[in-house]
Amino acid sequence: MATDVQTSRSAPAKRSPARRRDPRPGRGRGGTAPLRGLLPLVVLLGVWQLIGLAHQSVFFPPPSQWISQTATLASGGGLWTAVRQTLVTFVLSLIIATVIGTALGLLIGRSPLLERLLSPLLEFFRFLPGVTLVPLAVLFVGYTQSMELYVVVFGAIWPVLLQVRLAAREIDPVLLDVRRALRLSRFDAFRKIMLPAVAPGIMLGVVIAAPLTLVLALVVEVSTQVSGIGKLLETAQQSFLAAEVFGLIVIVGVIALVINVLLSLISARLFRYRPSSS
Amino acid sequence: MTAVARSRRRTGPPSLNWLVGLIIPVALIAAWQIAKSAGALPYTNVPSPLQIWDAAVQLAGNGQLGGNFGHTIAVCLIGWAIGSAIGAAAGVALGLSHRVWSYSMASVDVLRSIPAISFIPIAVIIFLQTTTMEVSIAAWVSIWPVAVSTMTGVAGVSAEHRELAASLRLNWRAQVSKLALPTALPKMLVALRLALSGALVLAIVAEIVGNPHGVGYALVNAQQQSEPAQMFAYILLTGVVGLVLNGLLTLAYRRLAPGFHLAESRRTGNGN
Repeated sequence: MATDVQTSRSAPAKRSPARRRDPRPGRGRGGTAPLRGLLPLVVLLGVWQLIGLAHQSVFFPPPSQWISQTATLASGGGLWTAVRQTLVTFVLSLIIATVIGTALGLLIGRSPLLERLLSPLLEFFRFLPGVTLVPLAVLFVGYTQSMELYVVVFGAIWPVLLQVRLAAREIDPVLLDVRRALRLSRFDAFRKIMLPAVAPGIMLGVVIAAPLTLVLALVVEVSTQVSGIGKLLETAQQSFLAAEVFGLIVIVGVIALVINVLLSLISARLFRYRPSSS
Repeated sequence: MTAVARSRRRTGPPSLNWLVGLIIPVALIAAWQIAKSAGALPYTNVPSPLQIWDAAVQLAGNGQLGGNFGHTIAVCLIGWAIGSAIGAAAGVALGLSHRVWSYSMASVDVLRSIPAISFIPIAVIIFLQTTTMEVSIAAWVSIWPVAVSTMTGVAGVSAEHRELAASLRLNWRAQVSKLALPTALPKMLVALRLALSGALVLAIVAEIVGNPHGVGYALVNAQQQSEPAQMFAYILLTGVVGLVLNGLLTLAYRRLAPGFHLAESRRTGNGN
């Protein structure tokens, strides 16, 4: 759910840059939280470890068992294959969704006619949970990697499309005058004016779409026969290997964190020159 | 918001916009029906819109449609309410006390960035394939956006208001109810909407994976019995339910907080 939070935080920021500034510098909640904030989690895991060792619960195995069971999984090679499969799906889907979403978003955002024609349909698809399409795709395409791609891409397009559409709608009219004044060709105008103008929108869309993409990939794997981390999670659950499930949750969490950090690094690099974008 | 203000914001009568927007969906449905009748669709078992309609009518007639959607919506709403309450409480604590924030925010950041879907298997092991499992997952996913938005909202109480509270010697309960929550309200409302769509998605996933009830299970069931028309009916109606829940919430906001614009939240996609 990191998506949602980021959205609600960065959306107003984009609208009015002034709001990004924390009213009380030094006590801000916007920046990165200090590492000492990990204390409760560490204490929880420590207590869990002590109690877990003493009581041997089936439901709450101690963290040391998570590590040992996950290590067993990793030494067989199954873990890395699964992580690779999920990541490949993730990267491919995100790229395809970004390209399609950007193209459609630009088209719709720049054309008031298309906007009026399509907005109810877009509104509907925005609220249609992508996960409901998983069983349907299984029925038509079967348990294949391409089925996973179809479903994940379909779900991930919408955030990108909606952000780009908004950015395209708000392109500064002066920029369009520049295009006319310089008599840029269609391609040049696209490359030099449109794309840079909507780039922050694309980035924001990707930032929102990325966790969603990961989630959709996991859902497909958990609920169908497509292999990946999701499949490992489901297999572990069905064999009641709680320690392995916890271990895999940690791995999924690390992947999600790394993706978040990478995206914010990329975003910070790309838009160094533009303080108003997040 | 008054009717005058609303009509000034939009240009032209709103009903006309809706009619224009109906052209494409209607044309698509007609084209779909024609393509199906002509046998031009790539998959032979894709149902026609009429078959989907028939399936929906049949499912509504035998009570399955109402029962399944009733179950899923109930789970979604209960989980959302529990999760939002926990999230709001945590957010107030994090926003009011700098010490609480600095000694726990990093833990919150770690927990909220783990995709909620990966907790479903552990919830199934602990609660088995029950509705409790579903509710717990829907609640879990609702906690984080509400907690973080409440926190940023509460932390945004201005220095002047803080001084005012100090000079009035407000106790902490009055500070929360008179100062912190009203300041945080706009941000919380946005987060509550996000949490609601997140709870709906996670409830459905939990049904697909674990609990044999509700829309998610109905979808899997229809898939195993090769009933594509039923699946389409459920999927399309899920979109409608998402829209309606969101619309109801927007209406409630207009009533409760008339001055607040939801324009900001339009930027968001659906939850995960």
